[in-house]
Amino acid sequence: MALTEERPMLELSPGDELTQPLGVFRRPRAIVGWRSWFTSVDHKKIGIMYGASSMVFFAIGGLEALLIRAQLARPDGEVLNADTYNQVFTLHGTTMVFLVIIPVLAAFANYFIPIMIGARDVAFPRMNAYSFWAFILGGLFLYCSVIFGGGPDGGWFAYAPNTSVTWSPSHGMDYWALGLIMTGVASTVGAVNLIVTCLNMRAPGMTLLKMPVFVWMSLVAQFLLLFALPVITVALFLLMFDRLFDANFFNVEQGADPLLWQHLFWIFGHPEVYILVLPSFGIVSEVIPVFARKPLFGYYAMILSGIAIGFMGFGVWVHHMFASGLGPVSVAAFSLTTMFIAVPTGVKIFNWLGTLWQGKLTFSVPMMFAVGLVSLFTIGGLSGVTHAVAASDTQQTDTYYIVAHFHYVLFGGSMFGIFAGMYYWWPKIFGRLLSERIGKWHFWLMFIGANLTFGPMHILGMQGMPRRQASYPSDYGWDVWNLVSSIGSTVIAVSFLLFVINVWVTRKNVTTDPDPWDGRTLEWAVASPTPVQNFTAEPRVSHLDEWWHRKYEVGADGQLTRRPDDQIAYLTPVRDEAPTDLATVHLPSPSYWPLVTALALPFIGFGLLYTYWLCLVGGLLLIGGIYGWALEPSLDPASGHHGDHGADHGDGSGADSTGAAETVGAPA
Amino acid sequence: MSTAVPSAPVEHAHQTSTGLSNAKIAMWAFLGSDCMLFGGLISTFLLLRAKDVVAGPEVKDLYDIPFTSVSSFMLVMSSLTMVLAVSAMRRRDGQRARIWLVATALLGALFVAGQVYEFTVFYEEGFGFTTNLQSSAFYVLTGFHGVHVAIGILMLLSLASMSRSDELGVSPPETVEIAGLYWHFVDVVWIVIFTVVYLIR
Amino acid sequence: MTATPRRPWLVRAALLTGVALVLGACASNAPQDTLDPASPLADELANLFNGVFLAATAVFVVVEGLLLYAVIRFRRRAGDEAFPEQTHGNPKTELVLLAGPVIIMTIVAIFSLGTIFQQSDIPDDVLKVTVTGQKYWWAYSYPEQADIEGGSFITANELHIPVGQVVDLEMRSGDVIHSFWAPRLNGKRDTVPGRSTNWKIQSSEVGTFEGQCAEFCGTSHAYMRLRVIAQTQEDFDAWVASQQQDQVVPAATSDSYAGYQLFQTKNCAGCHRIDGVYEDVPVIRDSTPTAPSSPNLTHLMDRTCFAGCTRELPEDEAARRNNLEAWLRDPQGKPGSLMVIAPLSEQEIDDLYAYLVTLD
Repeated sequence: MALTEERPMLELSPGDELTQPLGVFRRPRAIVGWRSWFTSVDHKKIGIMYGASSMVFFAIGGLEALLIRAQLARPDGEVLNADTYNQVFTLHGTTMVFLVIIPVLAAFANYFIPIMIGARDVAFPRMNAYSFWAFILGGLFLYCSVIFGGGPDGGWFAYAPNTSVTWSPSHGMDYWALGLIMTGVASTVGAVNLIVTCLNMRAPGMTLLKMPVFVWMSLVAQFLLLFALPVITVALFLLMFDRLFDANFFNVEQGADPLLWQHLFWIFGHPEVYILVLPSFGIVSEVIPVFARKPLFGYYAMILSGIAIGFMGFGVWVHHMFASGLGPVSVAAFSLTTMFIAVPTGVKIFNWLGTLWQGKLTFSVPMMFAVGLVSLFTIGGLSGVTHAVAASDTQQTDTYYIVAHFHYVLFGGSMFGIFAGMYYWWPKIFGRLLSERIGKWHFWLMFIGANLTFGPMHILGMQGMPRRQASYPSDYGWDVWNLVSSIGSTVIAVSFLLFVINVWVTRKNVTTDPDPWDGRTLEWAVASPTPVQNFTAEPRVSHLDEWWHRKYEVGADGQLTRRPDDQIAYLTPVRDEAPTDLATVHLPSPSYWPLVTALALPFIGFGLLYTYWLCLVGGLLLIGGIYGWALEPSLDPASGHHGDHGADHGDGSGADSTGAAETVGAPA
Repeated sequence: MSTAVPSAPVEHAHQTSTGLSNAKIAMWAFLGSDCMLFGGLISTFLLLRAKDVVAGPEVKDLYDIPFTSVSSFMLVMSSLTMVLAVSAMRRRDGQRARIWLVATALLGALFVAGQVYEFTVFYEEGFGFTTNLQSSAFYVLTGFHGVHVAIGILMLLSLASMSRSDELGVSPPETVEIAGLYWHFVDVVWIVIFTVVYLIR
Repeated sequence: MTATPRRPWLVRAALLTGVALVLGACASNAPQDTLDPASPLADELANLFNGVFLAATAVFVVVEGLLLYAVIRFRRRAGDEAFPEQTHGNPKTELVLLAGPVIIMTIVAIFSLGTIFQQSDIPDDVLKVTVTGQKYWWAYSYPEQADIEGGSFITANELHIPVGQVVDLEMRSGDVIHSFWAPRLNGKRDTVPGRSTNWKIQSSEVGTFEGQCAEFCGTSHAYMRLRVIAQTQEDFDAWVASQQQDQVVPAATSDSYAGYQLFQTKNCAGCHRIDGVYEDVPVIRDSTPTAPSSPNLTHLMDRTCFAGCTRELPEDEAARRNNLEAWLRDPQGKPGSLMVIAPLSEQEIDDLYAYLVTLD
């Protein structure tokens, strides 16, 4: 991501000695150059790394999807053998959920939550870096399985006892369980960090109910991660103990009940769906008002419904188990809760419609993706209602109908929101404008491709084609729709390729316009790309959609008018104004320790699988990393600050401003 | 540049939105998450204990309630010493605080030692990790808790060694307070485990 | 920003796709079509689905219609710099909109929850069959027949039921979770090892109904198919009577004797049971995944398929020989098949075939 190298640099005077008490190790200095990425604690750099790596995983997961569709394009497909096919669909699901959507949403959350709430960084910058390294190492560890003896083959849902050593003897499922524990650690740490950031790092005046909807939805998603991840962590540990240490948790011969796994998995798994989709809803709720030139319809309803979805999301997990024979009372109860989670979801769709209604809509690419989300997610939501009817769901569950359903939700919902965010925020992140022309092709091909791929799956499911089929015979009426679906998947692939091409051809399409879309929230009040210190002075917030209110006022005639340009004060020097003197800004210093501490995880993982002395190495790295972390000088003396914070748990204070807080606010 | 440890207002508090420190909110959030972890482990144990045992002894026949009561009592008492450490820290009495921190860690260590002894006895009575459903669930649940206690002990000892002067350099009262939150949580979890796993059959 | 140019070809493509989708949904020759029920149970589910689908379609049309209208009608015209009305929402409208989904979902709940209880309600007058899912085939035992002369028996992959009769399936698993599903007869139900649950099926017409395992169960999951054969009561009774007969050891002089011996020497009998001839293996495996278990081959020739119903056993002698011999040559032709067999000579294959065809 060389695109960002031109950001303003933090100048450090050379030769400053670090003289902090208990400062055993020097902190790294560089904040530019490729090495700086390994030690960076800047939430923006970490966000970019999250985004870039998750897009690489998206390409890998997409290739796996193409393999699946190639195999199923014709009956009795021979592209993959059955065993490979099972590994490929397991990896596809695991990758898309854990290594693509979670981290790409973490990318947006990392980059934009601090800026949108007027903070310099997240609450714990080093923990933030740790989250990223733990995530990427966990993902790479998981993919090591493919190199070392076979990928996981039990499905992303990994139902016991099919994942026992008896039935899945390769190390694939071990890599899977351990890799997901690692990404789980990453997400838990990240969730704690972002929750504290949202609760505690808001600029003066940025009350909770003035936070942008994206921040709110991400906050809800982080709470869901916080409470859902430990449950799957328990499940993964039990599986790991069963597989590596002969424990009996899912050993039926000892009287175990395989449904224990399903309960633990889905108590996590269903909130997970909302973890994947709520932040995308947030992105869309930012994009639509900007391109409709009017405020979000029903801000409070949007937030309340998001919170409601969060709570209700923990009470619907059994709808994944309607065919497992749990007894009619619990099935009926969960059928009911599942139906009523449609209500807050419906509220969101109505509010988006309300925002569009009587707006002045500009169809730039972000807006197209946002409207695409509304239209596709509606389909996914409605097919979800047909699943909520537990009795008839016994016909649809585990068929292609449900594959269609959750791809409309996760591709039509999450991914469309993510691409809306990509096009929307690209100029802010990289100071480059993506091409509208290529972007529109990207949108239309992805929109058509999605419907072509996932639409026919509804029919396949209703015609009785179960999912997770390595092949199918030709005389079941499934041939045509599988072919259509496979063709659709190549259309999606082409559309993603167009996105990559778009990124490449616009790499020199520099824009210094800080506010290309006439945005409403604070990230548009700072230079593009965002300068390292985010804000020259801590902003003072007095409105929801603060930036909009600073730009526009209601004139004497009751009409909205834009203030004269000289009255609109950007929060950093923009365009060719002289950059802020960074000596006046206290920023968290880079650190080696997040990477070192995270490196312990794969060592312990490999050690558990092959030889225990590697665990010892991992343990030493972990302990050494934590002490190094706790004992390193908390900040650079050049900033004139002293160690009044830092060497406590985490980073304590994050970044703050030594400059006076902003005095020129918008007239109320 | 002065090298002096700032001795005056160490808590030169950054203005946070809630007025609480970041670290404290983070610890509360983490503990909330940890509740779900122990919730999952305890539910697993209860579910598996309800199943018929196929091989080996049942854990209820092995409990030495008086012994475990004593070690539990020590853990509960360690919460008391933890409170004393925090209050000493608040009075900026680093010397006293260090004594209470070490005492807390010692009580914790005694508890862990008791657990190791208990595991050894259970193992010798044929209740190994792989023996049956109950044994796997029992060792994983109490083991996870034991690891939490062990991490807490390391944390306390680190804090004690850092609060070596009454200037309290890097260990402001709040850090000890936050470590205390963790310690009390681990303690409360044990009370739940002791009640549900040991006492209620 | 200019508005997106209208693309008439897009509209046409969308329309064509829509029409094609509707036509495709009515495709004939879909033997597992859930919307072509052949029993009152599946009929109930299809009706329920159709009802909810209709409601969903109505909502779909309204929402997407409003969206499309908004997208076309409220497009910002070039040069239009005026602002729309800056409304932040309207609590009254929002409450009304909230009522919409609440009412719809309440209606759906009222009409659908009862069926859940009906589904698990097993009437008294049923035929009991125990279904055991295992990698990668289905075993059916008919415990009620134990009281009748001839005793109970076990068959594989093909479930015979009398037409009209409600059949109470007791669902068990021999290893991992499977799911029994014959879509035209009822929804699916998992077979969970260590648990037993009950599920009903019923057929209102004579015929053969396709189905398959619907819960991912391993490498050969896609090849774990099944068949339900609904017969008139007389035909069913005759079938039961024939199944209750033990097989007999062929005469030493017969053509099939060499194959009979090979069945032993090639260790087929170590996994496959033939009632009255080879009874080394237990009648059925239950939650002991390490025990050998392969389909009971008693009366193999009465069946229409084998190898998890992925291979046909047609009436036509040549085709039948072809299929069985191909299987004996390479059981791994079914991916993930757990059948292991030392390579056989063509002579041995012919001999084994000659023995297998006597199992009728």
